[in-house]
Amino acid sequence: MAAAQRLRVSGRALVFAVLLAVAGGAIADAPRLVIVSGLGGESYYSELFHRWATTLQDVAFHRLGLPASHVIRLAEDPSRATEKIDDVSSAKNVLDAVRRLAEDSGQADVVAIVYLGHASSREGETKLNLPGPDLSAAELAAALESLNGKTVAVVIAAPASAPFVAALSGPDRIVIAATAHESENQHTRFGGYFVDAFADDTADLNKDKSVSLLEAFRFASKEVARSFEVEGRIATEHAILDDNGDGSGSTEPDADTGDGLLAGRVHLRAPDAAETAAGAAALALQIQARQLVDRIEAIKREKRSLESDAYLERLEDLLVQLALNRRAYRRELVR
Amino acid sequence: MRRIVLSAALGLFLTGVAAQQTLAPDARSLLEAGRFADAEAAARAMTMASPDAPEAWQILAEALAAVGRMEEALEAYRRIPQGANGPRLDVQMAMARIERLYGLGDRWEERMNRVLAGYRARRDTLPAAEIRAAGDAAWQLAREDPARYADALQIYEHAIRRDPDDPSSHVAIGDLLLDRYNNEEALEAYRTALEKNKDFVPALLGVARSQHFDHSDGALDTVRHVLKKQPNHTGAILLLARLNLELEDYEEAETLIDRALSVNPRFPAALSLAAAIAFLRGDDVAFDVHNARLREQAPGYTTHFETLAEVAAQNRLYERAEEFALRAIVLNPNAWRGHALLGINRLRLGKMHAGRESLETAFRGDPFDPRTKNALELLDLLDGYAKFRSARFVLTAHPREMEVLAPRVIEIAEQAYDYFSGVYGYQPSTPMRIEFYRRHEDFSVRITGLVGVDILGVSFGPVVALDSPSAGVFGPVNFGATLWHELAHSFHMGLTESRVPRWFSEGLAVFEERRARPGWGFDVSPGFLTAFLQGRLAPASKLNQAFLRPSYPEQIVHGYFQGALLMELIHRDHGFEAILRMLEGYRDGGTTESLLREVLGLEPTALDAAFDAYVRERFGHALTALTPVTDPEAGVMPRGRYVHLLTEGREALQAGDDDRARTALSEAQALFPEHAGPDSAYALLAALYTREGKPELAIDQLERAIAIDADDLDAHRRLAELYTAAGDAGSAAATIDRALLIQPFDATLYQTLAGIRESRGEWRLAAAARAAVVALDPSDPAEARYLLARAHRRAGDLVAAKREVLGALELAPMYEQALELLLEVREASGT
Repeated sequence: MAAAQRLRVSGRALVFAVLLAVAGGAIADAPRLVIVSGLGGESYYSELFHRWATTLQDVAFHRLGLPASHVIRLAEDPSRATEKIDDVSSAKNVLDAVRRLAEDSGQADVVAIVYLGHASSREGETKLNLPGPDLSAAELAAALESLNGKTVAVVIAAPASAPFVAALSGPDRIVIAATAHESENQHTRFGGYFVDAFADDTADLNKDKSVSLLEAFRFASKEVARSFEVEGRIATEHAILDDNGDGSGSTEPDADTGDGLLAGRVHLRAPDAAETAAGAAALALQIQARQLVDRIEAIKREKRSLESDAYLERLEDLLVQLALNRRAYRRELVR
Repeated sequence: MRRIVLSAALGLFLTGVAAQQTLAPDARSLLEAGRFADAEAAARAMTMASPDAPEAWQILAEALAAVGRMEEALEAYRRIPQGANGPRLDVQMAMARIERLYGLGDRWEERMNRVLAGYRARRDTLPAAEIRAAGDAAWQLAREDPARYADALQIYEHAIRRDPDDPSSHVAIGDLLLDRYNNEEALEAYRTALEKNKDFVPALLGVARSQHFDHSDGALDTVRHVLKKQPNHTGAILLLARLNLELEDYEEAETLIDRALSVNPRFPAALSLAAAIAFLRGDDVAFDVHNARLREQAPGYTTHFETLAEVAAQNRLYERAEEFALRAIVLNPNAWRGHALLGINRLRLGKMHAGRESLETAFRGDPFDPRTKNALELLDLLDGYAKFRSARFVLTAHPREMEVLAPRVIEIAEQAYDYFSGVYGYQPSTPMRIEFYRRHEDFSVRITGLVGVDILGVSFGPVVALDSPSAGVFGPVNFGATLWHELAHSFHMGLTESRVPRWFSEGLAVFEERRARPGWGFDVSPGFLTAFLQGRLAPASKLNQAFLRPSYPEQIVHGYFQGALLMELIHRDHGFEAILRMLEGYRDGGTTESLLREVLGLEPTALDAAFDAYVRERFGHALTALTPVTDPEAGVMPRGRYVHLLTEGREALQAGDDDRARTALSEAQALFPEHAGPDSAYALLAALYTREGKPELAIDQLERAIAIDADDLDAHRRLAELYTAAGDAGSAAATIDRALLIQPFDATLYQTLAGIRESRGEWRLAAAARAAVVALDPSDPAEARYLLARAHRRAGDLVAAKREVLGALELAPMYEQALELLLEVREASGT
C-alpha cells in the first residue's frame, strides 16, 4: 500500500489506477471523455470540427477501449449524426456535462474535456464559440470546481485559447491550449493533429503501448509546426501545456519548464483486459516495472549532475532489471 | 565655343550688373556642361566687370577645381564676399574639402567644424545649399567619427525641408546612403531627385552608381547616358573606367582614366584606379609611379589603399587585399573601412581569429557599417557550428547537419584533393576549410558581407563555402558536384596565384565536374543551343562578358556550359597540357589574347570560329531539330521539330494516347538525346513505360537521364522505386546513394536505403544509413536509435550497439524490443 500511496502522490495515471483498483485501493475506471465541437461559422469549419470530433469519438471507442457510457459528445448540429452525438454543444449543455461527470465518475478516474472549434476574444475576455451564448473561461473554471480531487484534462483546440490555461490551471489539472497568446487568433490546426495522435502508435514515443497526453501534445505541436514549414508560412499558433498548476503554459514541457510530468502519466486508454485479468505475480511485476521506470526517470533528471560513465552505468543497471522484468511479465501473461 | 568666347569678350565692355545678369547663366551652363576652360573665361570676364559678384568667383573656383588647379581655386573661393551673417558655409566646405584632399594647409578640420557651428547657429535662416554643406561636413568628419553619419543624414533632410524641389539635397542623401550600403533607399533618393529634374546629372550618376553596386548591367548604359550629357564629367568617366576594369578590359579602363586625367590631372580617384590597374597587370614600376604621383598630388586621398584592397578582392587576390587593407590602416589607424576590409579578407583566407579581431576593431570604430556587423554576426553563428577534421580538410556545418554531411563531403573532398593535385601538379596548403550554410543569407554574408548574392558556392582559395542543401534556394542541386567545382577553383587559384580569369576558371571547373562523375556539371539544354543559333552567346574569346556583364538573364548559366565546351575543345585539339600551360601563363601575367596565341596558336577570331564549328559538330543534329521549320503536315514549328515533338508527346501522354506519345517522344529523343531533366523525353518516356507496366524500359530511360543530369532528384527517386519493385536491391541502393548527394536530409531516403542494406545483410552500410536517420531529428527517435543499435549489433560493433540501445531506452524505457536487444548485446559482450 505504501507504493500505491507514492504513486497516487505523483499522479493518477490510468495505469496506476488500474493497479490500485486490483490491489484494493481506490476504484479506478476507464477515463471519462467529453468531446465538444463548436460553431463552425462556415460550412468548411463545421465539417472540419465534425470530422475531428467523430474521429476522436471513434478512436475512443475502438482504440482506447472506452465504453460508450464514458463518452459524451456535444456538437453544433446533432442531426449530422444522431447515433453519435448526445446533444447540441450549447454552453449550458457543456456545463451540465461537467456536472454530470462529477457525479458519475469515481475519485480516481481521469476526466478529459476536449473542445474543437473557434474562440474569440472580446473586451479582454476569450470565449468558446458555441451555439447560443458563448462560454467563457471563468464559467468553465467554475464548473470544473465540481471535479476537484480528480485528475482533469482540458484541451482547448481553438484560436486565442491561451487565457484558458491561466483560468483553468490547478492541482491535478492538465490544461492544453492551441495558442500561446491571445493574439494568435487565426483558425488553429492543433485539434486535428491532437486527435490523430491517438489514432495509431506514431505518437507513442516512449513505446509503452499507450499515448499519453504529453505525447499527444508533443506530436500535435510538432505536426502543426511541420505543416506551416511545408507551406513555407510563418506559424500562427504555438500550443501550450500546463500541468504543474502554476497557470503558465509551456510550449516545450520538460523538467526545465516544470510542466509535463503529470501529462506524461495520464492516458486516455481503458485498462487492458489481459492486464486486469493477470494474476498477482503479473501485477507485482507491473508494479515493479513502474517503480523501475520511476527510478529511471529520476536518474535522467540527475543526468546533468552525474559523470557520463556513472550515469550510463546506473541507467544500464536499471534497464537490465527492467528488461528481465518484462521477460518475466510476458511469461506470466501466457501462463 | 565661338559663341561663348564672343560673349565673354563682349562682357569686358558691359557694366557690372548687366554683365552679371547676362553672363552668369552662361558661365554656369558652361560649367555644368563640363566646358571648364570656357566657364573659366566667362567667369573671369564677370569678375573683371564686377569684382564683388559672388557667383562669378564661385563659378571660377569650381571651374578651376574641376581641372585640378586647386591652389587657384582656393584663391577664387577666398575672393567670394562674405554674406551678411559671415562666411558662406558652402564656400567654406568647398575650401575645406580641397585643403583636405590635396594637402593644402591644415585648417580643413577647423573649417569643417566651423561649418557645423555656423549651421547650428543659423540653421533657421540658411538656404538649402549651405545646409547641405553642413551635411557634407558632418559626413566628412564621420569617416573618423561614425556617430556623425546620423548627423549628416538629419542635416540633409533639413536641406530637403528647406527646399524640397532642390534635387541636390536628394542626391546628397542618396550618396550618403549608398556609402553606407543602403542601396535601396539611395536609389529611391536619386529617383526623387530625377522627379525634380529629369536631366540632373548628379542624380543620373547616382543611379549608375547604385546599379553598379547592385551588379546591374544597366550601369554601363546609364553612365554612358551621363557622359553624353556631360562628356567631361570626371566622376562618370571614372565609373565607366571601373566598370571596364571589372569586365577585365584593362585597356579601355586605362583609356578612360587617361581621359579623366586629361580633364583633371590631379583627379585622385583616377590616379588611384590607374595604380589598381597597374597592380592587376603586375606592372610594379607603373604601380609605384602612380602611387608616388597620388601621394604627391593628393596626399589627403586616404581611401587609396582601401580601393586597392577592394579591387584586389574583386579579382580574387585576397592575400594582396589583406596587404592593402593593412597599408590603409597603417596610414590611418582610424580607417574603419580598412579594418573591415582587412577582417573580411582575412576570413576569406581562413584566418578566422585574426579576421574577427580586425572586424571587432572596425566595429568599435564604425558600428554602423552593415558589412562589419553582418560579418561579426556570422562569426558568432560559426562559433555554434560543428567542426569535423579530416586529413586535409576542416568541415564546418550546422550541428544538426554535420553528421549527415561529413561522411559524404569529406570523402568527395579528399578524392578531389588527390585528383586535382595529381592532374595539376599543385598542392594547396592544408587544412583547407569547407563551410556549409543552412541559410542562404548567411552564405551571402560570407561572400560579400551583405545579403543578396545569387550563387550557391564560392571558393576563396583556402576556403570553400557553400549553401547547404537545406538552404533550398536554388532547388535540387547535387552538392557533391558543387563541392568538386569549388575545389577545382581553389586549385586553379592557387596554381595561378589567383590570376586566372573567371571565364577560364568556371569553364575548367565545369569541365572537371563533367569528367568526375556521370551527370555532374552543366549539360546542354535547348535554351543554350537556341541562344547559340540566335547568336546570343558571348563570343568564345570574350566569354568573361557572360559572367561579368551578362547581356541576357540566362547568359551566365550558358557561360558555364560554354566555358566547359571550350575546355573540351582545347583538350581535344591541344591536349590537357595546353590547359596547364594557359594556367601557368595567367600566373605569369599573360592575357587571354596573348595566351591564345602563344599556347594554342589562335587569334581570338579563330577561337570563335573553332568554337562555332565545335558546337555544330557536337550538337549539329540537335541544332537542326531546334531550328524553326515548316512541316508539310504539321505546319509551322517556330521552336523546331524537337520542341514540337516533345510538346506533342507530353500532351498525348496526358491524354492517355500512349502510342502517339511513344512515337513522338522517341523521335524527339533521337533528335536530341543529350537533353535530360524533368521536362525531357527521358522523364516522359519513363512515366509512359511505368504506366504500361514495362519497368525495364522505364529503368533504362531513367538511368540514361541521370547519367546526363545528376541533379534530377525525382528521376533518382523513381528509379530507386523501380529497382526496388523489380527486386534489384543493389541497384536501388546505388541509386539512393546518388540521390543523397542531391537531398542528404531526407530521412525517408535513408530509411529506404537502410532497409535495402539490411535485407542484403550489409549491416555496416545499414548502420551508416540508420545513423543518418538518427541525425535527422526523426519523428520517432527511440525507434530510430533502436534500429541503429540493431544494425551495429548485426555488424558486430557491440560497443556502438550498446551506446545506441541505451540511447533508445533512455527515451523509451518500456520499449520491449530495445530491452531485449540490450540483454542480447550484453550477453554477446560477455557481461
